[in-house]
Amino acid sequence: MDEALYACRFVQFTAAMLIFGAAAFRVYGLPESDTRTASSILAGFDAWFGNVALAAALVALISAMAFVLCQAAAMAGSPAAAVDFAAVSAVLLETRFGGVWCWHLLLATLLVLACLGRHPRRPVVLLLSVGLLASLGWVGHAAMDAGLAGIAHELNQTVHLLAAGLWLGGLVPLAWVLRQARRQPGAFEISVTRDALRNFSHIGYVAVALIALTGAINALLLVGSLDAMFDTSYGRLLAFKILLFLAMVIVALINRFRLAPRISHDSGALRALGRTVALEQGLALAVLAIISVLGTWPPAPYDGRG
Amino acid sequence: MAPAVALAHAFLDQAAPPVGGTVPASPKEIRLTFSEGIERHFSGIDLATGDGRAVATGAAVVDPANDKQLVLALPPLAPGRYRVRWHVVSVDTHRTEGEYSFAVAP
Repeated sequence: MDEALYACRFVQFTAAMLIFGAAAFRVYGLPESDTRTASSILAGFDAWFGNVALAAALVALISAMAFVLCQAAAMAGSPAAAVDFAAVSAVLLETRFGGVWCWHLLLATLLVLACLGRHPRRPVVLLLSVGLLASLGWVGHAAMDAGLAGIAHELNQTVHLLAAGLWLGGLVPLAWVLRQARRQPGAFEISVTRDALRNFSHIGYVAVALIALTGAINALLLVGSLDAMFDTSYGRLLAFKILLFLAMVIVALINRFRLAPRISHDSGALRALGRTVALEQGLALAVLAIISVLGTWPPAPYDGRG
Repeated sequence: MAPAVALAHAFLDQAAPPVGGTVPASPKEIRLTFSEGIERHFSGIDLATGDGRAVATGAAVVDPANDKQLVLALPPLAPGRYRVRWHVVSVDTHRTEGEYSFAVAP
């Protein structure tokens, strides 16, 4: 049962971050331009994005529904509850998780509808994807504190997820731009790619800073001390996740300072960038796999106080 | 100052009647206090005698004034040992369960 919960969470995080990161990338990474070549690149991007967003929204919606069934089984402590109407509706209507998840399901449905048209309205998709990703910050560990502290924890988690989506999700459209530049290495495509890389790294600085800050606050709230970080399996897995994050930052710095400056005169640099961005994507998937598991583990050992 | 570490799963913090304790007379209720808020619909208490026979009770309820407390109203209990089995789901969706026993003094 746990594995099904992990899988649903992994798919949720991946799909929501992909839609949000790609929709945001279109805004900051590929600004509108009125030249004909630029608009053909933008049209190509928008067609690609429309397909990716629709697929991801469908996957998000289906796995969000599956997640409710898995939660019903986990909460009732019996797999049969997954197909028991009373248990499933109790999860949706009677629990704090359900209160958030009804909104999440609504947002996923609206996203699918928004992506179904031939020309999805990108601002609408962007707005809905923010909601879809943010709502994931309102279930799980951040939901456990009561009152103001709980809301602060949830907001912190929301910022963490959105910043992560900006970076991790943005790697996918960035790879699309790099693929186009390799396919048609004209002067114009290279300049669009150079601008996109520069814009992506500017956003990346902000995203990495926010991820580190909100992540530190979250770790303080959930783990509490460095000792607990290495004494519990939760803490050790979290430490591993932080190592992967640092590895991503190092790869990103290599991209930014070693490879990106060379792409206009060195086609090898463009190919190398394609590979390092793919490596970053792999690390990003590993991080998402870890948070899918971490969210269902108890963060700290119970010491039997009271 | 370190912040209080959050637990995320609801663990039993306090029990009345106490874990392993003996009470002088039949208690009116079992009141379990957990480390986290719990979900009413997925939390419950089963009571049995020391030799395993179920004691008929109503359903346990979450105290409206404190969502960390699960309360089970009791019928008059004869002197003897009793076994309490509880299961709860914390508001952040995690299920935990446990059991303990107490005795009613003759």
